[in-house]
Formats: sequence, structure tokens, C-alpha cells
Amino acid sequence: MSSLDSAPSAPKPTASVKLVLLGEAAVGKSSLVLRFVSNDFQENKEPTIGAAFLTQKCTLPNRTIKFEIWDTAGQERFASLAPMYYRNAQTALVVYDLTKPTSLIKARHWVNELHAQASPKIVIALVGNKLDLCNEGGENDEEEDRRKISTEEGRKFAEEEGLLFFETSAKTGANVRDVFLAIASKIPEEVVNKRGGVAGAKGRTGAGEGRVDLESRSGENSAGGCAC
Amino acid sequence: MSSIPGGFAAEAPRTGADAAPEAMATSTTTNATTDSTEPTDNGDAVSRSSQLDISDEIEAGNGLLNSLQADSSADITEAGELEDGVNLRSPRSERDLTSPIESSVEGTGPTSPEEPQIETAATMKTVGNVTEVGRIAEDTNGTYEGDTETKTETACGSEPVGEGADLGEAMSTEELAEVEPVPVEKLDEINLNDEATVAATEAAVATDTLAFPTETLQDAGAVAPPPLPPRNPNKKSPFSWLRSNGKDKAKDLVSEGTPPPIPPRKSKKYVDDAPQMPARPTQASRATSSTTTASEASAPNYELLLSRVDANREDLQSKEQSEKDAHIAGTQKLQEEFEKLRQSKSYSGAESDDDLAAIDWEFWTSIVADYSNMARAHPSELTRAVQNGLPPPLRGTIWQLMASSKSLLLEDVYSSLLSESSPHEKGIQRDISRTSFAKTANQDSLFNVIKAYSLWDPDVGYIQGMAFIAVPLILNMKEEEAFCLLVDLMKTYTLRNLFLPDMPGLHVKLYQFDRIIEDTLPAIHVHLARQGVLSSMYASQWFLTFFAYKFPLPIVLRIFDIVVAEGLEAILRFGVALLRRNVDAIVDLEFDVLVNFLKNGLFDVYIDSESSTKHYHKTPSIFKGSNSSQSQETTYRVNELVADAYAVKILPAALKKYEAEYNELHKAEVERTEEIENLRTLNGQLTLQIKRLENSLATLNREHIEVANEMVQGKVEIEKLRDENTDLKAENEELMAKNLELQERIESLPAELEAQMEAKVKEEMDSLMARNLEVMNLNQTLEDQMAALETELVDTKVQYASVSDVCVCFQVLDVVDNANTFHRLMRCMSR
Repeated sequence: MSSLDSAPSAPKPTASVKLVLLGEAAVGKSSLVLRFVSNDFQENKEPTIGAAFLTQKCTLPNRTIKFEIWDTAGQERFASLAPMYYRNAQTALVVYDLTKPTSLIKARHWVNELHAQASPKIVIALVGNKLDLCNEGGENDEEEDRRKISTEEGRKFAEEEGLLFFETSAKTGANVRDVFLAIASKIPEEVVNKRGGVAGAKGRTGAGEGRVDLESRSGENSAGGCAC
Repeated sequence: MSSIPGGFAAEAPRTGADAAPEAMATSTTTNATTDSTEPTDNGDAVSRSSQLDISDEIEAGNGLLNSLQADSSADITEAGELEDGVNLRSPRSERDLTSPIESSVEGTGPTSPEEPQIETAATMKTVGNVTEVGRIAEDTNGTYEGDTETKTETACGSEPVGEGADLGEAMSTEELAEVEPVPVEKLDEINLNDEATVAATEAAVATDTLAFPTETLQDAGAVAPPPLPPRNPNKKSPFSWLRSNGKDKAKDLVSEGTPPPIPPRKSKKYVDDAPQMPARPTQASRATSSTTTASEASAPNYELLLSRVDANREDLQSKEQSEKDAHIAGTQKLQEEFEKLRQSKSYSGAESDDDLAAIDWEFWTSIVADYSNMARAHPSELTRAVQNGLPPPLRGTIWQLMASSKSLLLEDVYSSLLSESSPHEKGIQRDISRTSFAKTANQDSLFNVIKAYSLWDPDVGYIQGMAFIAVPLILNMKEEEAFCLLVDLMKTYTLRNLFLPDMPGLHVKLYQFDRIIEDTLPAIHVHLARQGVLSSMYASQWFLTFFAYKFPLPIVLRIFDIVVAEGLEAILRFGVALLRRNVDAIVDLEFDVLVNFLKNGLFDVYIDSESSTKHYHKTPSIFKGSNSSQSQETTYRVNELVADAYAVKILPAALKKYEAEYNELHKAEVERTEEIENLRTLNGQLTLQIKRLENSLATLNREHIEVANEMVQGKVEIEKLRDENTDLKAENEELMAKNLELQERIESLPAELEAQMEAKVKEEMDSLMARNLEVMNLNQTLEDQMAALETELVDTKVQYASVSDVCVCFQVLDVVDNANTFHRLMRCMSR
């Protein structure tokens, strides 16, 4: 199907990229995706149960990237389902709420987990959402500035961990496209070529995976082990 | 036909007629997979018990099927060849499948009017099977296509309205099966999970059904079929295989004993009869059948319901007396309320309230009076009633009675919990306010119930999705009752296992779902596996919200009816039914479209295009390419969905087996993870050690090189020294020789010297002697001279005496001179 969609309009190579959204409940993961995919916004978006799946194309000068987006449920309890989604993801969006300090702590947790468990080459973007609730410098007197996490704090964390960093508003749409464009351009060519999203899951036995798993991670681990 | 109230009755034959061309149209590989497996199992059912080993062969031949499928039509052979079991599946199944169809055409008329009232679901199954047969026949050999369709048409044409239509069709299926001259005892192999077994025991059920008043069926939304004389169950079992959808693997085959005895025909007063009836029909059949599984298999599709009843009762029994009393008191209260409602109905008159008027009060009164015993005594009636949907005014009461959830004690707990505050309050409030499904219920009640639960069960606390479970409860009963039922669903129905941290129960359910799909819908299983779609990607929400996340409320209520009656396992029914209904669509889709379809599109097949205003709601869906976002006006053919769900045979035993399998796998997985973790740690340590060793090796190497260099230098030096040594040795030798020479010379020197000395001394002696002699001679001479002189002197003296005295003096002087000279000489001589 995907070839059908892209063939006539884009002679450029189309690559599928698996993207996973992680972050605390109600930080706006689904809203970010909704903004990106449909350029739409819903106040009071329903909580995600399990995970939602969406796709969206992103056109770059030299290639077209088709994002296969897994929008996971944010509540802690659903965390046991998350590895299935980020295991083969090439990119991850770790979202926090600029008005909620605990959400950044949760974001740190996700970044650590991704570093430990996900593909070593994963491109991670840290996204502080709900920029519309931040009324910087009191430009608008009627609304108070609800920002609790400064841009510097977020940026510092992103720099320490080597993440892309954005502050967005799914409501106004500010920076949302930029996040995805930045991720798309950050994805190395060779990662794009192999389709990771689908090939990875092999069913519940996972017999074939085990060996690969250990080897690939052992390499990563030894590298990580040195750092520790 | 569209006027048939049942909906599904009209739908099924149509599907039957359409299915074949559709199947032709779809890709060949798809058909190969789907069809090859299905006929096979039909064949298996026929394969005699003496050929049980064939099933192994079949297993082995599985892989060959696709290729064989192509040849199957060419391979059609006579029965003899099939008997020896050498043939692979396709030919055999073809023979098995085609012959009944042929015979059905020949013998449209054979009189077998024994079939009495058949359950709606059962007839549906039959229709489904006929369809299946038709498809297979067509796929394997086009010749039979016409026959199949004719058969289906006949069935449809001859049927009366509504339920009766199904009955007529079912009958013809029976007939055509009966024509098949297969010995009874040979056909008793029945799949454990197979619908064939449902069909097999239809006779027993049917007789049971007779006990019910006709109005029961009418209330159930169906037109009662004309009463028919009871049929002989022994005649029925032989063709039970025909009804098999062939969904199960050959390994599940179980041999069945004699068909279960038919319970005696009961009067309408089944309430009174209940105690005399066998506690459950399966037990009765268990007594006669050879194996337990067979007896289970011979029961219609109410195993889950019975096992739920048992589980609920056990749970109640296991409670402490005070709790038990509180539950019993709660149940009594419900019964009183029900009685009041019934009274009010009879006073106000049936016409005033349609909802109340439509209720079969007699039936429900008996159910309300003693649910668990009624359920055991009349499971098929109850199942049917549940399938048709509980009467809305009674729904809440009956749910609670089914679950025996109402507990006065717990209600007290609830009211005390209301005043406490929960750490989850914020999250609950936030989620309720943004869940549209929750809007249908009273927000405060919903909040109260969920909050109370989060306090009551802190391990679970609050989890997103709970609102979906709580809303239907709150809509149908009082707040505190809803809380009791929620607690009961969580605890007794083990729903809380799904919500616990790490969601162990959800993983078990998903695994059971996977296994059922693998066993019953291999084509879908294979396709999903190839596409990398895991059931957790789309089915988690089904289990966590009882489908409420996607379905509109009316459907959800119907699903709740069944879940409360049967347990969470009922969700599996719906899940499997949805996939099965969409099999053709699913196998054609690729990953991304497929995932969305599974999440959002599966239900579309049940949209009632005729009655629903084709108004598509655009806003709420963010899922592009999926048309699941119809507005509430969209009506679904709920009955059809329920009927499909009931066509899925799910046995508690199988589920237990799967659960055990999962636990085993999970354990292994956990162990594996731990092992990997350990290995990883070990690996890290070893890597470090290797690094260390490598470092020390490098150092050693460096040292070695240094040493080697030193050695080389040393060797060179040694060589030099050796040379020097040689030189020195030579020199030494030379010196030694010189030394010797010198010594020799030294030794030879004294003799010479002596000789020389002696010679010299001699010479000197000689010369001295000679001189001595000379001197002596001289001395002699001198003495002579002296003597001469003395004589002269005497002469002279005498002369001189005479001469003077002076002269004498001179003379003495002379003598003295002479003496002096002499002395001098002597001295010289001695020297």
C-alpha cells in the first residue's frame, strides 16, 4: 500500500521509520501525534489504552520518510507493554509536560530505559510539550505563566544525554513539525534502508531472537560497561 | 429476508452464497491456506478411530498442503484409497466433503423431521458450515459449486420466517448428513474444541429446549419454529463431523462415547423441576461417555457459563461466614426488588411499558430465584437468553445475581471509602473528564466508584481503562451495587490480574487468544506472524475495557451480559469471532494498514448498512484510512456479532491448558531473561578481564621485546667477549711459552756463571798463585839476597868492625829497610 501511495508523487526513496512515543500520562503524546498526522487538536483527548498506531510521511529534500508511530499509553501500569513497541524503534520521542516537574523525572527514566534496552543507534528527541501554557515574560497579562521546567533545564538534560531537544505545543502546533523533521533528517541512511519495524517481531517464542539479542546487547553492554 | 428480526438469520445464507465467489476472487495463496486446513479437519473427523495415527501423518503433511492443494482436484480417488490413510489430506477431505453435498442434492426430501427447536446459534453454525463446505467443494473442484449453492438456496427458500428459517436450514443439513452412509461408531471422533461437538449434542439440547415454553423463544427475539417430533440422538452423532468447521488441529481429536442421553421432557414448570434434573447435562453424559473431555465436547456452547457459575459459587463458599451472609442478604434484596418490579408490571399493565412487557417474567423469575441452580439445570436456555441480551430493566439485577456480587458488608465499606481521599483522585478526575464513553454515566458516581476501588485495592489502585468497565455497571445499578460488582469482577472474575503491575493476567489472556487463533484460524495466525503483528498491539484494549474502548454502549452492554455470565473468557469469543469474520480482509493487508484495521476496522463488518444512517462522523478518529469512526447513529448488527461469538467454541479445559502453557513459557522467558542478564553481567566482567589481560599481555609483550633486545645485545657482547677471550688465551699461551723459555734460561744461567766465576777465580787464583810464586820466588831471591847480604854484612861488619862504628849504623838501617820491604811483600802475598 505504501508503495502505491508514494510511487506516483515521489520518485525519491521512501523509507519506513518506526517511531515510539513515551512519557508520563497526559503530557500530550497522542495530541502531538494528532497534530503531526492530522494537523488537528482536541481538548481533553481520551487516554490511550494499550497503544495507538499511526503513520505519517515526512518529505525531506533527498528522501521521504514514512513514520510508523506507536503512541503508547502513558500510565505507569502500561509500562510493561512498552518494550514491545520501542524494541525495534529507530527513533523515540520522549515527551514531558513543561508545567509538570514529575513528568521530566519520568522522561529521564524513559531515556535511561531506552539507552539500556533499545537499539543502540536509536535517535531520541526530548520534547517539552504544552508550550502554550507558558506565558513567558508575562506578555499576556491575563494568563499566568504555568511553566515549571525552564528551557535551560530541558536543554541541559538533552545535551547530557545526546538528545534532540524541542519545546512544543500540540495545541498551537508550535514546533511540532520541526520535531519530526529534525528526527527524519537525523536518521542515518543505512538505518532507513532496512525495515526494522516489522521484521523484528517474530512471535511469542522468540527463539531466533534470543541469540541475536544477547550478542547485540552484549556488545552494547561491554561498551556501556566501560562507561560505568 | 431483510425483514427477519433476527438479522443474522438472513445474513448467514447470503454469506453462504457469496462466500465462494469471494474466496475465488481473493489471492490464491490465501485460499490455499484457509481452505486446505479446513477441509483437512473435516476429513479428520471422518477418519476412523482406527486411523488415529493418520492425524500424525496429517501433522507431518501440513507443510505439503499448499502444494497438494493444487493437485487435489486431480487426485480425487475412490473411497478405498482413502481408507488406507496413505493419501494426504486434500483428496480425502474432498471426498468427505463432496459426497454429502451430492447426497443433499439427491435427497432433498428425505424425511427427518425429528429435529426439534434448534438454537439460534446452533443453526448459525450449521449455516456457516454449509458455507464452508460449499467453498471447499468449489475450491477443490468446481463441479460442486452448483450443488452447494442449490443446497443453500433450498435451505433458504424452504425456511419459514425468522428462527424457523434457520431451523429449516439446519434440518436440511442434518438430512444431507444423514444420507452419508457412515457407521455410527466410526464417526465418533470429535474435536475437543470443535463446533462439531456442539452440533453433535444438539439433539440432547433440543430435547431440553422442548421443556421451555414457546414464549421463551419469542421473547428471545425469534419466532418459534413449529414443534417437531424428537429425533433419535443416536442417528445424529454420525454426521456431527459435517458441522465441523474444521478449525481445530487433528491432535485435539478425542474419541467420544455414546451420545449423551436426552434428559426427559419437562413440563413448563422448570423451576419446580430443576432439582430433579441432572445437575448439569454434562455430568449425565459423563457417566455414559468414555472420557471426560468427550462429555465436555458433547455439551453445547455453555461450558464457560457453567464453569463461571461454579467459580462464582466456589468463591462464595470460600468466603467467611459473615461475608457470605452479607452476600446472601444482598441477593435476597435483589430478589425482593425484582419481585417489586414484577408486581408493578403486573399492576400497571403490560401495555404501558414496552420494555417491561417484553420480558419473559416466568423465565427470569426462575432465574432470579436461584441463578446457579437454574444455570446448571438449564444452561442452554440461559445461554440463549444471555446471547439475546438481558432485558434492560432487569440487566443490573441479573448481572449482580449472576456474579452474586451484592454484599451489604461491602456496601458499608463503600460508603466509608467515599469519605476517604485517594492518591489517584487527580488522575481519575482527569481521565473521566477526557473519556467520552464516561460521559454517558453520572460523572460523580463514576468517580466515586473508581476512587473507592482504588482505595479498596491499593495494589491495583487506579488504572486507565477502569472507567470503561465501571460505566456500564453504573448505568444499570446503584452506585454501591456497581462498586460491589466491580469488586467482584476484579476479584472473582480475576479482572484485577489484568490490571496489576506488569499485567500478568493480560499476558495470559493474550496468549490464550494467540493460541486459539493459531488453532482455529491458522491463516490469520500465519499472516499476522509474518507481518509481525502481535495480539498485544490490538487486543489489549479488548480485554482491558471489554471492547468498550471502541464499541458503542449498546454493544458493550451485550458483551457485558456475556462476560458477567461467562467470565472474561467470553472476550476471547468476541476476539476470535471478529478475526474470523474478517479473515479475507486481514490476509490481504500489510503491517501498517493491518494494525489499524485490527484496532479499528474489525467491527465495520457488523455495521447495519440498511438501518443505520450512513452518516460518517469525521472528527473523533485520528486514525486515517480507517472508517471506524462512525457516529453513534451507526447501528451494528449486534445479534450477528453475538451469534458469531458463540460459534466460537471455547472450553475452560483448553484455556487452562493454554494458561499452563503460558505460565511455562513465561517462566522460561523469565529464566531466560535472568540468564541473559547474568550472562550479560558475566560477559561484562569477562570483557573487563579480557581488557585487563590484554593490557597486561601488551605490557608483557613490551617487556618481552625489551628482554629479547637485551638478550640479542648480550649475545653480541658474549660473542665479542668470546673473541676477546680467544685472543687472550692465545696471548696467554704465548706468554706461557715465553715464560717457560725464560725459566729455562733462568735455570741455565747459574752454571755458566759458576763456570765463569770458577774460571775467573781459577784464573785469578792461577794468576794469584803465579804471582804468589813470583812473589815467593822474589821473596826467596830476596831472602837469598838478604842471606847473601847478611853474610856480606857479617863480612863487611867484620871489615867494618874494623872500619868504624858509623859504618855499623848504616848497616843496621839497611837491615831495617830490608825488613820493611819484606813485610810489605808478605802483606801483599796474603792479599
